[in-house]
Amino acid sequence: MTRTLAAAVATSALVALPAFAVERSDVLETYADIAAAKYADSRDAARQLQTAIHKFIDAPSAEGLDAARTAWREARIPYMQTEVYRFGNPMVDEWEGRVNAWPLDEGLIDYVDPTYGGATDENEYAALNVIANPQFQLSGRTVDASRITPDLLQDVLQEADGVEANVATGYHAIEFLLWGQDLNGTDAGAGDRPWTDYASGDDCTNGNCDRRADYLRVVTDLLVDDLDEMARAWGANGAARADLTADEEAGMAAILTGMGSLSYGELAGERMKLGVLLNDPEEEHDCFSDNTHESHYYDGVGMQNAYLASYTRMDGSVVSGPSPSDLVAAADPQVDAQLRERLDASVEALDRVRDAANDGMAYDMMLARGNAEGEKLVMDAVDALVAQTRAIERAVAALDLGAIEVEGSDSLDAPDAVFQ
Amino acid sequence: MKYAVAFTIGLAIAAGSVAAGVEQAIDDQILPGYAAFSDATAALRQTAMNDCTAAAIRPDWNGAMDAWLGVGHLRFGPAEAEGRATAIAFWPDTRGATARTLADLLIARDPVIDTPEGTATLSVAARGLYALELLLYDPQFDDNGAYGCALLRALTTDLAAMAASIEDEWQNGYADALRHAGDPGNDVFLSEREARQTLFTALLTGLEFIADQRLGRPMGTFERPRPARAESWRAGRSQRNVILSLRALSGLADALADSGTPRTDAAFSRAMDLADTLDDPVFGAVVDPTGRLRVEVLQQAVRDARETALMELGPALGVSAGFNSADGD
Repeated sequence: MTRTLAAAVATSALVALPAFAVERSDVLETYADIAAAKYADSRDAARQLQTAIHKFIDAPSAEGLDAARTAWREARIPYMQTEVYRFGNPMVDEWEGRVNAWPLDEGLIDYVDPTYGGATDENEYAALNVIANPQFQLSGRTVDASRITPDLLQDVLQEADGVEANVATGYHAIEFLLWGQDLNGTDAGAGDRPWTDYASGDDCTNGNCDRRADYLRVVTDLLVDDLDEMARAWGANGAARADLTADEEAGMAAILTGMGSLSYGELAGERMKLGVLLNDPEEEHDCFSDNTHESHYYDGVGMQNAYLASYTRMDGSVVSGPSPSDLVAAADPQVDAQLRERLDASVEALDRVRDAANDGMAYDMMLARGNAEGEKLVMDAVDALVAQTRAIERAVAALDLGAIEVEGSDSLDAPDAVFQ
Repeated sequence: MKYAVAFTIGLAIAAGSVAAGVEQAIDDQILPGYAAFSDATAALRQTAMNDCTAAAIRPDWNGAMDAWLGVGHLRFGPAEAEGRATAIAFWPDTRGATARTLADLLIARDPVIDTPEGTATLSVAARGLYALELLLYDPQFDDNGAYGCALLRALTTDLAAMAASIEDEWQNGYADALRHAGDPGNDVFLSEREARQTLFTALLTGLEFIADQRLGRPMGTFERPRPARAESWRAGRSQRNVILSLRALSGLADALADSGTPRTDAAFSRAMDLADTLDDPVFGAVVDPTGRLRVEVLQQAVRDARETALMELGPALGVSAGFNSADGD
């Protein structure tokens, strides 16, 4: 056996030699392989959620609701790690709103507390409550919602009236249907929807339990279908993989664009810093379930494992290969070392937020006015993500990535046209 | 396009003239711009201390707003620190947080505003220029008695303090870090390229903000225009904000490359001409097709200016667009 092992080591050392110069094409293929694995894991976890939800709806109980909530939390773990693909890959970005649109005016979907208010200047349909209303007026026409169907949710209600806060599908719609509104503000506690919101007959609380169950079933089925579509798009002959690998330089730029835009504008800015500056618990990403600390953490992990090209699947197996890090290191080892350090630092900072939340300071409590300790935890993570963004820009420069898809414009293509 | 940060290939030109561009931007645009903003907010505070009626304060509020538009696109370094730029200019407010938070303060007569430290802990929705605009112009905030007066004084004091801090940090350290980008020990800007890229990114982001937010929000869709989403419509100065911010961005572009970018210059001229001659102070005309088209033509001209700068000025500076805070949703 020893001899065989030695021979195997020798062989792998030999074949490793030509791989010393990492090829961009191999990095892109590995990136797509990992994306495919993450979306497949997300779909499979959503199927577990679907099973739990069907079971709960068929025989409502407190335990059934708990099991569904646990399955939802589990389903977020692989999905959040895919967010790194969003901003660099047009197919993902166009699709993303179906599964993870946020923030939402939840009164569109179901009953809300009186303090929520009604329609607003921004959104006339903020309190539409489709579960209670089998027929309603929308943008000047009558909608028949007597049956809750996939078409009703994805084609009629999603972004109704051109307002992004009208979110009818995806994780956060399901989250609202499982937890309900979090009415604790920046104090302890998450949403507390009673399981009897899905009970039949006289046990039904808050009315329309059948329609609520129909909605929950349809929206969960849609999530599974949407994730399956994206897992296939990254598969062997998938369109997202083909887009990424069509042009090596553009593909590398897409990888780093996805990391940079998620780090800075989205996670550090929109999802974290803004909530602290506004002291607003509604600005928390998973605001019904108080699961935000986990979601942010896995965003960070997803960026790191995309850069290092090593992803541990839900079943424990590892998908790995030539990485963006290898390419950057070949171009400029210092830039690569700095970026790896800063990815480590941001994951650690996000992990400290997670620890504090698990020890009792929920993410929305960190946003409270005057909670200096909470603010510091969040802002340390923001600062780490901003620092990481600067390192990503340096990696873009080190790889000397050229022009990608800059759209033509009159002023360049036909300079005279602009004066007409 | 929200997913795409376009990287254009760098064709570096002689380093001397490029460094001169950064110097010129600092000396002609940034330092005088922040000094003017600091002065204007100090004057606003003084006026509120003397006479806290809306009529008395409005002219100085407009002066402060004008000055902010000269520097509001420079959202990095001292302006980004402690969330200052967001607290000075919290707009757009897509969830009505400013009105709601101000109303809560007024109902509770919340004593948190009794000290500057307390005011600084307020939600950014209730601080800065846009919260003041609501207090000074919206009828629902008329006549709030002694507490309303105290609130105006607290918010103008807070604003002036933020403006002074930004100016101070630029004068005492940050301008030097930018000027001496790439020097040993400079851990803010590791190369001259990073200094150029920071200013170039601010230019592109500023143009994007005008097109997508200042113009795009009131435009809404063709079927559903949204005039009530225009910036500063209560103060009647939506168009003025576009004119002044375009002027500031044009100045920055000139400073960065004072010669050799004729297409960028032409694209800016065209956008500024359109903005000057629009004659639609709060973009109320977006509700009819002709009026909306005129705003759309201006929006297109601003986008052309951005793309032209990306293609012409970027290569001249040897940089691409960096990541910006608007890359998310």
